[in-house]
Amino acid sequence: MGAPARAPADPREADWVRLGAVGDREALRAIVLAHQDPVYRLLLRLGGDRELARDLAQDTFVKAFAALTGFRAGAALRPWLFKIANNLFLDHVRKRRPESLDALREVGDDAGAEDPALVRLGTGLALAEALAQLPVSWRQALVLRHDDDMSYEEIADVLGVPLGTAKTWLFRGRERLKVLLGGDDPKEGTP
Amino acid sequence: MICDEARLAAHEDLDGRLDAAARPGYEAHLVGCASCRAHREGLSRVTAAFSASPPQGAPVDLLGGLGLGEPPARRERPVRRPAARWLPLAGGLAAAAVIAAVGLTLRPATDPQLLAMSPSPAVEVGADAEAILTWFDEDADYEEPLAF
Repeated sequence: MGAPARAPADPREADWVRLGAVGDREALRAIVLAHQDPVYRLLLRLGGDRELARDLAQDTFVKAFAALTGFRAGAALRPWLFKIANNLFLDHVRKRRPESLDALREVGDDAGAEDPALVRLGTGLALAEALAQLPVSWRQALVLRHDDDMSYEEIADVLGVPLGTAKTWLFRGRERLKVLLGGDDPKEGTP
Repeated sequence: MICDEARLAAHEDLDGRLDAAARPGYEAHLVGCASCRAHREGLSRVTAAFSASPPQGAPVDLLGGLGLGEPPARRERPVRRPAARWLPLAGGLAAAAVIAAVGLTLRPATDPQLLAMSPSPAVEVGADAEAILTWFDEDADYEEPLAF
């Protein structure tokens, strides 16, 4: 898949991978600390459930650590971790229906109009609910693009699909999300 | 450029991937097509929705769940109280008053009679120094400045 190699987020990553592959706890710890936030965030956006995101994030690191010896030296860890996280999420979706958004909703119901932080939380709930209505593949493409600023090529690489497919998923997902978020203008559709 | 092409271009433009050669045609189309302008605005709102809901960090027990110990302690930042709005103004006025008072007091005399009556600066400084030395008891009077 011709995605340009993304530079590692931290220059020490190669050392962490080398040492982590032989079980060095400090190196494994450093890998988790460097990547736990984006991995958790991806899974939270995809599933809309904190417990699920936490469990799958842990599983992501467990799987990654077991496969560290086969990791290509010098490559960036994050896209690889995202691949594992995405696959774990797909496995979860295939096994059972996604969890509800109740946990987020409980907090979001209190969102007032004055406090900017609460307004943001309300927006987050609306986005989470809209994302939950999209096919998983569209959701994945959207989250990778908008939260992690990945290029079309990187999205295609992480999701293991051709570039054209990744773009189609992203564009369709964005179009649908626009409608779900109420972003459609009544004038639209009239020349 | 037709509407279907313009809508595809809107996505690429949003992602910073619109081809330079396609841009003039796209922008010209937008000028004359309210529908495609509205479409582009709708797409921008999707981007804004992601930006407005900043993602959350991982839970603190994730490391522990992996058997890798506790997360590093977060450094507490000292709470800084915002200065009152009137403080700079009051400070400026006070500084101006001090400068004016010092200026008036130390203004050199220009009247020849006054100049003749005035003691020589060296004598005056010497007398002041003596007075200060007798008045200032180093051990009793000196106090460490308060640290804020």
